[in-house]
Amino acid sequence: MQPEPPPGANADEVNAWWNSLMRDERDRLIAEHPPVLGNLNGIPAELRDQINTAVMNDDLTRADDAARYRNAVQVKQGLDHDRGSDPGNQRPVLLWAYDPLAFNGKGSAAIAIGDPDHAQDIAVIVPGAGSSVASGWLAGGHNDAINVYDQSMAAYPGDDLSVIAWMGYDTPDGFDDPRVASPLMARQGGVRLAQDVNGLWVTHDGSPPHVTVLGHSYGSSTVADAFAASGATANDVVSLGSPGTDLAHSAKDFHLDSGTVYVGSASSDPISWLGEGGGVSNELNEILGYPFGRYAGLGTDPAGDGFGSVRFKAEVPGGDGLSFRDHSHYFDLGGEALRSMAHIVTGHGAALAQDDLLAQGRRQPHITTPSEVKIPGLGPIHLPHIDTRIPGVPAYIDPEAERPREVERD
Amino acid sequence: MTEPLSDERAMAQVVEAARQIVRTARLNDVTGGFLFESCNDQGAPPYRGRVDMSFAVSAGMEPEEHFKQIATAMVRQGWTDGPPPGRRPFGLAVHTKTVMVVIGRACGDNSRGSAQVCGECRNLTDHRHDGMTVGNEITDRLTGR
Repeated sequence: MQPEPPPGANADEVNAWWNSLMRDERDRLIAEHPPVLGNLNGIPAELRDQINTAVMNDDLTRADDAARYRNAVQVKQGLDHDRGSDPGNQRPVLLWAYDPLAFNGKGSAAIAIGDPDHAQDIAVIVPGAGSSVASGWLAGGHNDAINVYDQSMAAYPGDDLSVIAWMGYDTPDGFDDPRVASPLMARQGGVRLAQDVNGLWVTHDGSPPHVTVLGHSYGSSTVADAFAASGATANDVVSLGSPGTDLAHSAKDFHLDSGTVYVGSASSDPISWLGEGGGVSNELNEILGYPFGRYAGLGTDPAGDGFGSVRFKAEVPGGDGLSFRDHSHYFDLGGEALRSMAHIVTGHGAALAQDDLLAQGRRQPHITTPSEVKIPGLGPIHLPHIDTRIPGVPAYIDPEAERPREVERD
Repeated sequence: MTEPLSDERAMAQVVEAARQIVRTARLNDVTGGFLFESCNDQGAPPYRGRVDMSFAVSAGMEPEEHFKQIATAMVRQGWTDGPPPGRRPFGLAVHTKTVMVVIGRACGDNSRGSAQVCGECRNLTDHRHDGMTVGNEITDRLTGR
């Protein structure tokens, strides 16, 4: 028996190897739980969970290895957090990936709420700069995955959903990390994300699922690169507060077939204005103190009306003018962005219109001329009417900014 | 700026509201937990207190019918029907000046209902590394006399 599949095997090859093993061979491997096995795409999710949990439990006894122990504690807390503290209403959680020493000790892990192999809908949430296992993203109390899961189930009771909190790439350490101005880590992360997302299709049981990949902030650039450059396959994409879509210059570059690139960008979220690399974003970048380095923007703003995306409402209650705070309210319980995502990840994107959640894209200023002039004594003189975008100018008119806010902000 | 809430007061705000629901709506087989929830996607302060609790759906009733009955009972106690202005959660919502409650079905169990009780974003303690965002069971506090 081969203890491991060939090095570099893809998810299909891993799956074929796993299925070629005898039952007792599989059972022995699960009992021995070699760490590599729990992270292999092509191994069923339920078994990955068993293996990864066993490895994590081993690490929780290894206080002599500080980084390993610290990240094991973080992941354990992440599992407890997503499962919930109400014993009468526990969410079903699986440890889908676990590598505590990845990325120079920042760690890599993915927690699924709901078994992705048996779910009808799968949502993968990709975080942005400053997120890591070590920094506590899995249990830090922002509740992204929990809120998407709970609100989707409230919107569509009985839907069979899996939401994966994917902490599977090395992110810039924060907005003060110079690497946040470069798409390099997004492109590297995009390779890993594409492998993991494509692996979901291989082990899925029954009819093909509906898969949505959601990226917030720098994570939206990572998601874009996974689709544009690394062959990720999914039905829909959600881009939240995006500083730019790097290698994807329009929705077509995501290669979604009949799927949709959905965009949530609050008009008051300054990071979402950094895309496009035009004059506005660079001026804004200077005013804000260069949060993305001297060269603002990581590509095209997907909220622009020429991108080919579907923009949903994502304003922050009480928001008034640009504020860094408004970069971080897309998963608020009761917010229109979270409500929109509940429709999208369950495959009901068409319901956004009925639920009054569609927003107009940001647009470029136009040059418009009158179609006639009236000259005294000569009467009206017809002119050729010109209405065109000003070339080279980014889309900076945001209709969403005009919408009245209803309540005080948090 | 609004006065911050200490950890104890932020917790009491939602626990007392949850207890009021349990008593007023006469909920049975109640269980629940408490956690601090960040009010932003960065997991940073401010935080709100949050109680996630569940209860048995009354025998012979459709879950949604029971949830409506709970909401009606709370409105009779002076609570306001629906979510606060500008909020649009899925589920049945009621609120006061300080808490929003979202009622719906429990995960994968139609015989139980759930209620998420969210308080005000006025707790400025940095809970990122104290474990308080993970959650702890507080069933006894919800059901104790």
